Amino acid sequence: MPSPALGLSYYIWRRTRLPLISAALYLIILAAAVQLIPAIASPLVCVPLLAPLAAGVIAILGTLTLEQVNFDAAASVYPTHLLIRPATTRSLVAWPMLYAVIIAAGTVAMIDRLLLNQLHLPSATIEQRPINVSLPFIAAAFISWLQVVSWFPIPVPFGRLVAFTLTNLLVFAGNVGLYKAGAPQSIIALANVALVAAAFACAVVGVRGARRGVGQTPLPLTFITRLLPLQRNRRPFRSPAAAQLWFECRRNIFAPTVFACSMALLALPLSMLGSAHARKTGSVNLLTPDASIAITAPILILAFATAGPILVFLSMAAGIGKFDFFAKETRWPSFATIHPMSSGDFVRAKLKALAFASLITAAVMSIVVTISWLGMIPSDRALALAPLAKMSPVTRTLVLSLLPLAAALINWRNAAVSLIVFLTGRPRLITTFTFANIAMISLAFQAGYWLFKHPSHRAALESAFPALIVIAITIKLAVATTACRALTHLQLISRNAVVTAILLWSVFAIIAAVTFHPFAPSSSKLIPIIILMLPFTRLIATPLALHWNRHR
Amino acid sequence: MVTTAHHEPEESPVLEITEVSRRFGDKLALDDVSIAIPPGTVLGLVGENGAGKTTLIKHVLGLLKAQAGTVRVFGLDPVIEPVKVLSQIGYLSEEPDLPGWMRVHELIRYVQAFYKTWDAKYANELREQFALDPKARIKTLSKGQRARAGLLVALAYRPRLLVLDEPSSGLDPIVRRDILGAIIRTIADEGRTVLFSSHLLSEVERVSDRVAMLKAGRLVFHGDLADIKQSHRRVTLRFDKAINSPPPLPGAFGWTGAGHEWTALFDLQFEHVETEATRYGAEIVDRGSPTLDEIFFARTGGNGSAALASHAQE
Repeated sequence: MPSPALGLSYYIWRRTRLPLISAALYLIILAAAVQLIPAIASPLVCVPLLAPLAAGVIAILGTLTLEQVNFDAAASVYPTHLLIRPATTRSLVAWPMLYAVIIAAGTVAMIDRLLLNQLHLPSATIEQRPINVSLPFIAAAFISWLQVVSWFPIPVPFGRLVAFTLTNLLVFAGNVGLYKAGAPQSIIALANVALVAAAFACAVVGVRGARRGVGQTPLPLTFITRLLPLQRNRRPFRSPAAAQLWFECRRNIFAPTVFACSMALLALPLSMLGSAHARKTGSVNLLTPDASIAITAPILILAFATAGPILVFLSMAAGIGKFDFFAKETRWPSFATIHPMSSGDFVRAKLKALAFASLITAAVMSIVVTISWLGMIPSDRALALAPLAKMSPVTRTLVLSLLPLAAALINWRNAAVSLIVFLTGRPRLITTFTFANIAMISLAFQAGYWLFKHPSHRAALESAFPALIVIAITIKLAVATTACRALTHLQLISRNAVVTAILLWSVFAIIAAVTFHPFAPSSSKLIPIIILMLPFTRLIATPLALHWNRHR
Repeated sequence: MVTTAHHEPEESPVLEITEVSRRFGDKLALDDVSIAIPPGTVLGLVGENGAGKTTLIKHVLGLLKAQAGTVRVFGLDPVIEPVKVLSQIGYLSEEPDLPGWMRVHELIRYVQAFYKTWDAKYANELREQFALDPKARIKTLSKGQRARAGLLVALAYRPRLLVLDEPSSGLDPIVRRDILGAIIRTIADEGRTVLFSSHLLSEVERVSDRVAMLKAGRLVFHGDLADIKQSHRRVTLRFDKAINSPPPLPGAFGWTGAGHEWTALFDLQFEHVETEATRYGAEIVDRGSPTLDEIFFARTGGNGSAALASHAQE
C-alpha cells in the first residue's frame, strides 16, 4: 500500500544509513570499552574520544534537513522531487520531522546513558546531574527548528543565517531560562515538546509556501538596485588576478570573517557582565582553592574572545578551497576551470583574500580584547599578565603590541594550510581527511595523557626524540622538494616564485627562532620544532591540489 | 570508422585528437578516437546520450586528461598549458554553471578581466541582442536567459575556437535558429573554428561543414558533411519472395521493412549495390540520398530506424 511515511523513511534511511550505522557502532564499541577498561572511564580519556562521534552526529543532522542547507539561497531546501508527490503538506513535514526528532533524541539519550553516565564525573548519577531527562527533548527541539529554517522559503539575502541564529538562541535561552528559574525536568521536557509542535506548525507553513513557488526569486530590493548605476560605471579590472581577488573578497571570505568577528563581539557583553560582577564580589577563582593557578570569569572570557574567533576561523576557512564558499559542490564548476588562469594564480588570490580576512578578524579581536582589558579589575589584570611577569617592561610592551599581528598570522596560517583539502574537489577525500584529522587529534591527546601517566615511557620517548625529529624533518623536506619540482614542471608557479617562497619561509623561521629563543629550553630542540611547525609543504602544494581538481 | 575524403587545408589543424581513450571505472567513455579540425571549420559532433560527446569536449578544454593518446589545441597540450589554450577558446556548457549571485554586469566585468581580446562594444551589442538586463542576478534568469549570458561571455572575446556543448538544450528556438546559426556562420566566415555537439541533426546539417559521429565512445564516422551524404545511398529493394529478415548484403545497414520490400542504407557505389542486389534476386524500386538524420539513425539504431521506416512508408 502506498504510504508517504514509508517513502520518506526510505529516502532518509538511504541518506543517513552510513553515518548512522558508523556512529551507532562507534558508540557501542566506546560504551563497551568504558565498561570493560576502567582507565577509559576517565573523562580526560573518554571525552576526546567522543570527537569522531560528534563529527558523525553533525553529518547525520546535515542529512535530516533532506538537502544540504545553503544559507544564501532564497528557496526552501525541501527537495522538489518530494514536493510534487501526491501527499499532504502535513505528512511531508510530519514524517521527516518525526524521524529527525527520534534520531536526534535517541542519539543524545544513548550518549548520555551509555557514556556520560559511566564516566567518573563529579555528579555522575541521574538524580544529581542538572539536565538529564530533558536533554533528548532539547536535542529534538534544536533539530526540528533546524528543519524549519532549512525548509522555509526566505527570500532575503542571508535571511536564513539570521533565522538560524535567532531560532538557536530562542531554544537555548528558553532552556537556560527554565533551568535558572528552577523548573523541574518534566516542565523543561514539556516546554521542548511545545517547541517541537511550534516548529511543526511553522514548517507546514513554510513547505506549503515552497509548494506554491514562494522563494523561487529573491525579494526585489529596490533601494539597493537604485545604487547600482554607480557600480555599472566601474572600470574593468586591471588584471585577471585583480578580478579573482574581487571574487574571493566579495564571496568567499565573508562567512569565516563574519562568524569569527561575531564570536569575538559575543565575548564583549559577557566580559562587561563578568567584570561588573567581579567589581561587586571581588576576584573569584573558578578552580579549586588549592589549585596552583587561578582562573577568574573575566580571564576565561578573555581567553574565549581570543581563542574562539581563531577556532571558528580555522573551522570555516577550509571551505574557501571551494570556488564558491556557499556552493554545495566541492568540484570546481566548468565556468571557473576554463578561466585562462593558472592554478597558482587562483591560489594566490585566495591567500591574499585570506590575509585581508585575517587582518579584519585580528583587528576586531584586538578591539574586543582591549575593551575587555580596560573593564577588568586590577587583580584580574595582574592575573592575565602573570605569564609575562618575568619580562622587562619594554619586552612586555613589545610582546603585547605584537599580539594583534600574531593573531592575524595564526589565522592566516591555519586557513592557508587547510585550503589544500577542499582544493582537491574530491568529496570522499575531504570526508576521509576530516575524520582522519579528528581521529589523529583524539589519538594524540590519548597518547599525551598516557605518557603523562607513565613517566618511565616518557623517558624512553625523550631519548628517541632526536631520531623521530630527524625522520619527520626528512619526510617534510622530501615532500616539499617533490612538490616544488612538480610545481615548476607543471608551470603552476615560476621558479622565481618557489625561490621567493623558500626565502620568505627562512626569514619567518629566523624570526620565530629569535622570538621564541628566551622561552625554549635549548636551541637544539627549538630549531627542529620551528622547521616542523612552520607550514611550507602543504602551503606550496596547494596549486597542485587545484591542478588535480581542474584536470582530472 | 568511415573517414570520407575531403580537401585538407594547408594550415595545421586547430584541434588534433589522436587515438584518445578514456575509461570511467568499468565504462569505456572514449575508445581510440582521432579527429582533426582545420581552421575555419564548423564541426558538428553528434551521437546518442552517453556516446562520449561531452567527455571528448572536456578533453579539448583540458578538464580531463587523456588516459591514452594525445590532445593538441593550437598545437598545445591543454593540460600542460591551460592558460595559453583557454585564452583562445570560448565555451558554452550544456548547463551554464555561472555564479548565481552575480549580476549580469558583474559577470561581464569579471570575465572580461581574463581575456586580452575582450571586445566591450561587441559584448554590449550581444547583451542588447540577447535582451539581458545588466542589473538582473544570474539566479533570477530563466534557463534560456542563462544560456544567453553564457553565450555572451563565451563570444565577447572573439575566441579562435568556439566550443558549444549541446547549446540547443538551453536556448529557445528563436535564439537557436536565428542568432546561434548566424553567429556560428559569422565565426566560420571570419576564419575561426567551431566545435559543437547537438542532438538536433537538422541544426547540425544546417550549419556544419564537417560531422563526427560517436557511438558508445567510438568514432563511427568523421568527415565533410557533403562527402558523408554522397558516400551513403538509400535503396529500397523488392525481393521475389517474402523474407523475414534482410539478406547479408555487403555495405548495407539500418534495414527496415517486411515481406517483399526492404529499405537500407549503403556505403558502397551504386553499381556495387545493384550487382549485390541482383545476386540475391532483388530489384531496386527506389533510390536516393539520405539525410543526416537517416544516416545517424541507421548507424546508431540497431535493427532499423524510425527515419528510414517513415521514408519507406512514404
